[in-house]
Order: sequence, then structure tokens, then C-alpha cells
Amino acid sequence: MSQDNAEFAEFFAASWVPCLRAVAASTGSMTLAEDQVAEAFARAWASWHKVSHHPAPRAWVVRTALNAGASAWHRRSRETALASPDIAAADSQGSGLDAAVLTAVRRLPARQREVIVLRVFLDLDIDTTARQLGIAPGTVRAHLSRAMTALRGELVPATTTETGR
Amino acid sequence: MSHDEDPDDSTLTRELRDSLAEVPVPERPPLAAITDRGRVHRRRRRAGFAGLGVSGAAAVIALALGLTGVFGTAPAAGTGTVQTAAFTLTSYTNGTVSLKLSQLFDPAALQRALAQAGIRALVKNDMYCSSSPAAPSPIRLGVLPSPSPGHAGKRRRATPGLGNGQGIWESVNLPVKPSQLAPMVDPISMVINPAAMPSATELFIGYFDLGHTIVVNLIYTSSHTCRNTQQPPGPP
Repeated sequence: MSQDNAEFAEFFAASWVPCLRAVAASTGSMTLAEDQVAEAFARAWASWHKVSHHPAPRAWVVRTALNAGASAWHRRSRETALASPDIAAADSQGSGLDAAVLTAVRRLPARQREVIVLRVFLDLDIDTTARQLGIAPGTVRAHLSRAMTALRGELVPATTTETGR
Repeated sequence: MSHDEDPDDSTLTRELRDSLAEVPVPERPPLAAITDRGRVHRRRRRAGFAGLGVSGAAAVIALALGLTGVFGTAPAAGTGTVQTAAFTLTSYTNGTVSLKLSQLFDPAALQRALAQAGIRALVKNDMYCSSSPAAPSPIRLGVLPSPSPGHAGKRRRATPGLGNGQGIWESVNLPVKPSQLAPMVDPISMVINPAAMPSATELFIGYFDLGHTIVVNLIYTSSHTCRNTQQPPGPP
């Protein structure tokens, strides 16, 4: 295995889960996210000479995955019957908070959702998030603040209700 | 990240992360499956660029000789067509110009072809150009039609009514479908009406390889800046 391939393999192994979760949080579907992230990693491998020098390769994968949408990969992966439970199905078996959180995230405007995905789920700092989205750090803070306010508004009543049961 | 947030936000951030961490994820696919798919991308890209060299050069020659229509199907009276591996440009008698873009991109050839068709344009690869204050939206002016859903993947139109300083968000942002990785398969199409372009403006067309996105916007010819970027900015 060449050094490039070894580096990519290491990146793929370490980044698959966080990228998948971040995309799933944005799309609301683990099945769709799995397809999109796999396609994005394939593109990352094809352009690894560029992506490896990207300041935030995971963010590149997530944004590419969100841009790519459903793909031919989706059709191929269906044929191999990969296990890919929907988040909704997982929620029904697990905590109610997951469903509430994911629903609340999906209700955010697209740009706020992107900021939440990069800032919160990928743990990028404000400046890196801003560079990824091509907007000013102050704009990121504004979107983050609005998104947090909206999420708090949606989640706190639900948590309170659950606590009060 | 704590220095960016108030304590309430930190708590919420932790809750968000924790909730997502509990969601089961499917097993990681084999690395070979990813690299096999990646090789398909590489092959298509190499094949595309190889074809682009020949066709692009041919288009330039045709333009220099004024032989529009050589590479396309027989044009109607008063129209001309230039077709390369990267784009097909058709001029109509009513002054509009139809442009079909493939995943391949040849900025210099496209810019020359657009100029030949009477459209002032700046065409770049992995570079985003904009004016400040921003030029009016090409859609609002009727330079470009409103994007319709269901073609060429998601089409995002920016929210109208933003301030002039944020006009860059009114660009037409056309993520390329994976199927369009094959040259000339279901290319992105748009009809440009150069008569609706205000004087002192030109069309900016940017292709972003890593983001697989094409951006079309208006900029002021004598007042714009360009910056290298691998992915275009989106709406605020």
C-alpha cells in the first residue's frame, strides 16, 4: 500500500463514523447519509492529493456528501444489502431525545443546519467553519446563536415534559 | 469551543453531541469498495480531460474562423452552435443563448465562446468572483430563468430581498449530479438573455471541482474581486 493509500485508509477509518453522523443529522436519514458519505469518501480518494491538504478534510467530506445527494452508489449499495437502519427506526428503539434533537435540527434553515453540523457535530472552530462555508466568522456566530436559540426553544419544553412525567 | 459560547450553549452542544452519539451507525464499508468507486471517478476525469483537449482546441479554431455550427447539429437560420466536450453553446435569433455545461470545464474556451456569442463573461475554475456592492440578481433581471426543481439535482436560489451587500447569495448554485460525472450526460442547461444584462456588468461562471458545483452570477466588470476557493459560498 502506498503512503497516500495508507494515509487515506487511516483517514477513512477514523472519519467514517463522525462524518456519517454529521450528514445523518442534516439529512435525517441514515440510509441516505450512508450512501452520500460513501460517495464523498470515494471522491476524496480520487482527489486525495487535494483533499489531504485541505484544512478540514472531514468537513470536505461532509459538504461533498451533502452536495452529492443520492447517487449511483445508492443503487449499488442497495444491491449488496448493507445494513443501514434509518435514524427514525433507531430512535423508536432508543431515547426519545434523539428523535427530538434530530427533528429540531432538520427544522433549522439550511445555513443554520450547516453551521450546526460543522461546528457542533464535527467540532470545527468558528474560523474553520467560516472558511468552509465561505462566510465571515461573525456570520457563523450569528447563525450559531440563532440555531441554538431555535434548538433550545424546541428541546427545552420537550425535556421539561419528559422530566415532569 | 467553550470560548465561543455561553454556558447554556455549551450544555446544549453537549446534549446535541451526546444524542447523536447514541444513534447506531451502519458498519463502515470495506476500503476496497470506496477505492474502487474512486477509481471510476479518476478514470472518468482522465477520459474527460483527454477529450477536452481535442474538442476544446477544435472549438477555438472554429470560433477564430467564425465557423459556428461546425460542431453541433445543423442550426436553424440565424443561429450558431459551438459544441465541445465541456459545453454546448447555441445562439438564437431572439438574442438568447443556450448553454449546456458538462462536468468537464474549460474556462478559457467557454469564456471565448460566450464572448463570440455576445455575452460578456468571466469564467473560472475553483475561483469565486463577486462585486461589493453586489450586482443585481441575474434571475431577477431575467438574464437567467428561475431554476426549476427536478433537473440537475438540487438547485438553490438564494432568498430574494437581501441587501445589496449580500447579493452574492443570489447566485444560481447548481450541484452536479453524480451521473453528470460522465461527459455530456444530462448536462446542466441554462438560457442566457444578454440583453437583460445591465451595462458594466458581466456574467461570472465558476466551477468548483471539489464541491462539484457550478455558480452563475452577475458581477461588475470594473469592480469585482476573485478568490481561490474549492467550494463556493452558499446563502447566509
